Formats: sequence, structure tokens, C-alpha cells
Amino acid sequence: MTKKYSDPIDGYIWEVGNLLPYPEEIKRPVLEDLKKDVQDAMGEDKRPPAVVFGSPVDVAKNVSLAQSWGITSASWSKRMVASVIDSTIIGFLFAIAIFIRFALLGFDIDKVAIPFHNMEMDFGFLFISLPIFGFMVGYFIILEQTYSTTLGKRLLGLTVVDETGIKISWNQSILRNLSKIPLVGFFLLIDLFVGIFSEKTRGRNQRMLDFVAGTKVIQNK
Amino acid sequence: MSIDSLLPKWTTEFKKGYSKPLILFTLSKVEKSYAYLLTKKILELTKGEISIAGSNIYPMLSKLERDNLITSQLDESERKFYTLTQKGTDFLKNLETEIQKFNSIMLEIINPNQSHGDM
Repeated sequence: MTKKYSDPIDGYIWEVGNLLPYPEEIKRPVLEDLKKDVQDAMGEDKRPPAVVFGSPVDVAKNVSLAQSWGITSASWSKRMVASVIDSTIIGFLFAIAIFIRFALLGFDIDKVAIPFHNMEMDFGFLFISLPIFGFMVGYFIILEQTYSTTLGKRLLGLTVVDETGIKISWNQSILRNLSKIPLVGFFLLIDLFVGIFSEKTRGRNQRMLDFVAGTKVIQNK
Repeated sequence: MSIDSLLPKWTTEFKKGYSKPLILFTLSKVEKSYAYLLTKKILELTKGEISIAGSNIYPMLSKLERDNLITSQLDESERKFYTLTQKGTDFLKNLETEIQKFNSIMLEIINPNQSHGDM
């Protein structure tokens, strides 16, 4: 998701802003001030702003740290409610898929051949179970990386950010959501309980995988 | 690790320690400044020896503001500028003494035969 700007400074500020998953009204004045600093720094310099002023990631980190935006941790209770909402959405889609699966049992298309390898794959697995499995994993990974939140989290005003308060990377999103993969789902409980019981010693409420990925869930509104 | 690669690392380390005092000293000289202009002024005052790159100054300014050593206001163009507070001015006087005392001790260790003016 990149936008084209005729002025490279505007493009640069957009990139920085895109890394800061906070409401527009609190971001705007800070980014406007930043733009003036970047304009000063650029002067007559023809090099890209990222070379003169620093990479958008570094700038976003410094802006976030300076504003202390990402410091209000979300409570465990809100995180759990958000998780229940997300699980309900996934469960609902899963139920629809199961329904389709059974509805199709009556048809003689349960086996389909994949032409490349001469293999026979179960229709239900290929077209229903596999996409649903992908959705269950992808739901959290894609939404949290792209929008810094999920539907459940959004309803409760929760945002996933990295330790410096900026948008998480793909690697961080995959890592923090490993325990949500359906087949290793039991690990989520260990992940959660280790987080809850080590909160006092570590002084922060992160799941174990949040800690490993360097991410946290904050209360954004 | 060779001396050539170690030295810049050590130099950067101790220069970093001077960043916040330099912001305060610079603000005491220029009275008020925008964030980026401060970094430019610091580079100028330190003869190019200490540069606070790009946005690295923001968290420092924010910390100094939280400690009430500096304050920020918006000018007529809605741009944030920083000034020293009274607490910041008083703090700077004490910091100056501490830095001179420390530098004098360091110089004495480095070159014990020369007089470095006791504080």
C-alpha cells in the first residue's frame, strides 16, 4: 500500500504516518510539525528525504517514543473479550464451511485430480478445509500487520504495535500469532498463562510470543 | 576487534552522553529553537563533532520536557519551538559545574603532570 506523491516530502511523511497506527486527529499535528523539520533539513538537497532525515521506520519510532503513544497496555480482560469476538467470527465462518462441506456430500465430486502430479486430493480438504485453515491463520496475521488490529480488537479500541509503538512487520505478525494456528492451538493457553503469570516479574502484560516477537497490545482509545 | 573499528564505537558512546546537556546548553544560547534547527546549531557549536541525526532529537526533547527542563509552545505558524524553563536554567548551572569537575578529573588521569584547574 503505497501512494504516489508529486512532492517527495509528502510521500515521505505519508510513509512515516502509515507506520503509526494511531487516530488521525492525534497524528496530524505531529506529522505537520515533522514535515516542517524535514523541509528545513532538505533545503536545497536533492537527495531523497530518507537519506537526509533518516528512514521512515526510524523516524516513526522516534516520533512514537517522543509522543509516548504506545504506552497504555491493554488489559487482559479486554484482550480476552476481543479474542472471544474474533473466535466467534472465525467459528461462524467455520460453521458455514462445514455446512457447505456436508451439503456437498451428496454430490459425486468428493475426489478431484490435480493434473500436474496425477494425485488425487479430497475435494473437501482442497476447497473447504484448506482455505478455512488458511483463513484462521491469516485472519490475525494479515489484519494485524495491515490494520494493526482485528475486528474484535477494533471494537474494544485495541491496537497491536511493536515495542517502540509503530506498526508491526510481517515477521512480527507471523511470530506473535504462531500459537493461534489451529493445530497447535493448545499452545495459546500456555502462551497466555506464561504471559499472565510473568507479568509481575517482567513488569508488562505481554503473551509469551508477544515478548519473543517484540510486540504489545495497547489501548488506543 | 581492531583499534580502528573500536575507537569510533567508543567515541560515539561518550558523545551520546553529551546529547541532552548539549540541547540544554544550545537552548541557553539561542533562547528558543525548533527541533531540527537545534540539531543544526549543535553541529555548528561542536564544530561538526557531535551531530544528532534527523529525528533522534525528538525523544530527547520529549524527555527534557517531561522533566520540566524545557518547555514547548506553538509559534504563529503553528510550529513547535522549545525554550529553557527556570528549572532548566538552574539545572544547567549545576550541570556545568559537574561537567567541569568531571572533565578536570579525566584530564588529570590522562595527563597527571599538568595542572587542570581544580574546581
